[in-house]
Amino acid sequence: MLRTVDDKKQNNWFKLDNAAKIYPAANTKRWSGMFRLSVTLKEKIDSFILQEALAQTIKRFPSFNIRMRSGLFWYYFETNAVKRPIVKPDVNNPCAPISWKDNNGFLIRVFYYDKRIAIDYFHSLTDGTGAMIFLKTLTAQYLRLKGFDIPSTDGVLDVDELPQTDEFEDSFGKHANSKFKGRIKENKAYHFKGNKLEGDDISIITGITSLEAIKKLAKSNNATITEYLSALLLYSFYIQKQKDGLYRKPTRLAVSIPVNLRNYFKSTTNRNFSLFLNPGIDTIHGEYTFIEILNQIQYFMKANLNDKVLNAMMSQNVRIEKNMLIRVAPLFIKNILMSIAHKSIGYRPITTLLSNVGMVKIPQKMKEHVSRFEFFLGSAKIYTPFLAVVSYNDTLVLNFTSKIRETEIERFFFTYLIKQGIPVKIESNRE
Amino acid sequence: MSKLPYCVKCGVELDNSANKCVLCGTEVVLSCQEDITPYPKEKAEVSQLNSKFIASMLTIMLAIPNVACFVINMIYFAGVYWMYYVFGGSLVVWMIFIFPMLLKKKRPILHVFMIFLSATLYILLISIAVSGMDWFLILALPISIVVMFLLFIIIFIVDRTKPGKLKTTSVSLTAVILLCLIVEVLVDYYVTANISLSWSYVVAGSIVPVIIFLILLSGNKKMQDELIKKLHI
Repeated sequence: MLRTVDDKKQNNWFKLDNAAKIYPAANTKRWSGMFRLSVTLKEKIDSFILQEALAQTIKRFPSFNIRMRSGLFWYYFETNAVKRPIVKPDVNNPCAPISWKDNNGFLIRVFYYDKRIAIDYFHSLTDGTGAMIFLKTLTAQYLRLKGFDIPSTDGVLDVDELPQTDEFEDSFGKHANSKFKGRIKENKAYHFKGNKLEGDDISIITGITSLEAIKKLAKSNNATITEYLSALLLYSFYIQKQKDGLYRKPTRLAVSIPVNLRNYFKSTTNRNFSLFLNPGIDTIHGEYTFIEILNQIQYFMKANLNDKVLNAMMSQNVRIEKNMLIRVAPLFIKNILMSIAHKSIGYRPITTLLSNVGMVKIPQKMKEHVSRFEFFLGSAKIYTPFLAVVSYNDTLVLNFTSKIRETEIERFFFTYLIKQGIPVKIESNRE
Repeated sequence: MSKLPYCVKCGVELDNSANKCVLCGTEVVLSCQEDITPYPKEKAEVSQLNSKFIASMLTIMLAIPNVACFVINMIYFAGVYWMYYVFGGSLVVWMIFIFPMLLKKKRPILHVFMIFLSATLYILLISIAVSGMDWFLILALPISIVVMFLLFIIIFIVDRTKPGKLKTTSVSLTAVILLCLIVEVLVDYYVTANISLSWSYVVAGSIVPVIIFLILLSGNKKMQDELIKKLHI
């Protein structure tokens, strides 16, 4: 590919944002912090047109058009102007580990399979919200190149426009200004153990259901969809914990729920801007019913989902990053310390994770070409099932990813919904 | 889209291409296999480049003293070949530590066999250098073959029956007794050509009670908990 004047203008570099910093340090040959968003269209994908659409789209996103570089003290992103990311046929095991030199240095991988366009993102680049904007823009551009007229509204960006600086700002640094110091102490949480799958295999179990039906079900319990589903997810783990013994340590069960900070602070960044809240229960108090778990989650969310608490959490994280002692440590020492911290502390307070990117909105004219969106989390270092949720029109897609053979959690989760009278269709990548 | 398969146990609807329920494993009677599966079959392979790269770097590092010794041997000690010791030793080290890095999976039987080959070659080279073929044939070769087979048996048992730590230890200890017996037989035969076992009985006599204790302990969860409680550090 020729290097144009346009490319040279983009010659730039970015610091990694606060949430992005942990992922390159924790990256190994066997594990990378990855997640996937994909869209299923109504016609078979033309890979040549997709390649062209990708080349046009990636230039519109300066924070995606990069490669990972290491400085003396920190990693940084450098604009990857000379090369282009390549689209590839999809694989059975999404979110496979990434190395900095793969795919011409880009930290996204674009795949196509039948009617589906799928993108694996390295989490340092962005969170679910930013990733969705990229996927929607790429899909719109693909459809435009196929000859359809798609307007640039509803989160679809115009690829001919110049990028705005606030689209790739580090919103953590901008908004973290809480004076509060200290952190909620979180106990060690129960981890569900299973037989690990071989190599880089990953187990995907997808449940496709109706958004309206789930909304009604959640509403009948006075809960939001995220609250209801995370309570059900935690309840599925609780049932397994019951078999292992309720009073056996560790007794805490917690579900980690990423919160989109754009809803609480003014930001239009396409980079990371989310935080985790870890509501849960402690079985040291005895038996719990589903409703009791749901209530616990709701109380926790009501108490913590506000800009003050979130700002305090965010500021705490930023304060660590700004610590002079940490800043002057050479990169390789930071890498060792951060990877140990990630392994030992990262998964300590959580049993599982539920990420809901919510309802996908796209321009009316695009709707006739799209049948559904999917969202997958990469495998967890603790191997247990994590749940990713996305909805579009009336289709709610629930995606379980794990690295274990057992399917007890998934089975309990989906059969519970069936017993509530909600039809679920199952798809899987397993043999 | 006339008949959609459902799982009779879980009640979930399944994809047209599915031939069993992924949640519970129940087979689906109605399924039409022509449909496109929801996910492709091909898997992404993560490049093994890194471990191969490290292996080749270590190989080069190991080769440097070998080349140096070879040159020194050739120039200053023409006719006296002590180079064997360096080469054979490096080969064994290579087989033990670097060879497994080149394997995609753990293959203990192959690994043991390769170590056996290299170690035997090393001993053979030494025996040629010191012109002592008969100790090689009567002592060294049989002992290394016995060690190899004992390791094979241990690996086989552990691989197949997946015993716990206690039983694995007792199996390994049994192998130690066998090895001692055979070594003494061979040594006696080599030295005096008259086999009379003595010290290996002492070894066996002190290990057998340990084995019995371990086997009894492995079947007794209460006793294990009690011991962990009393002896924990």
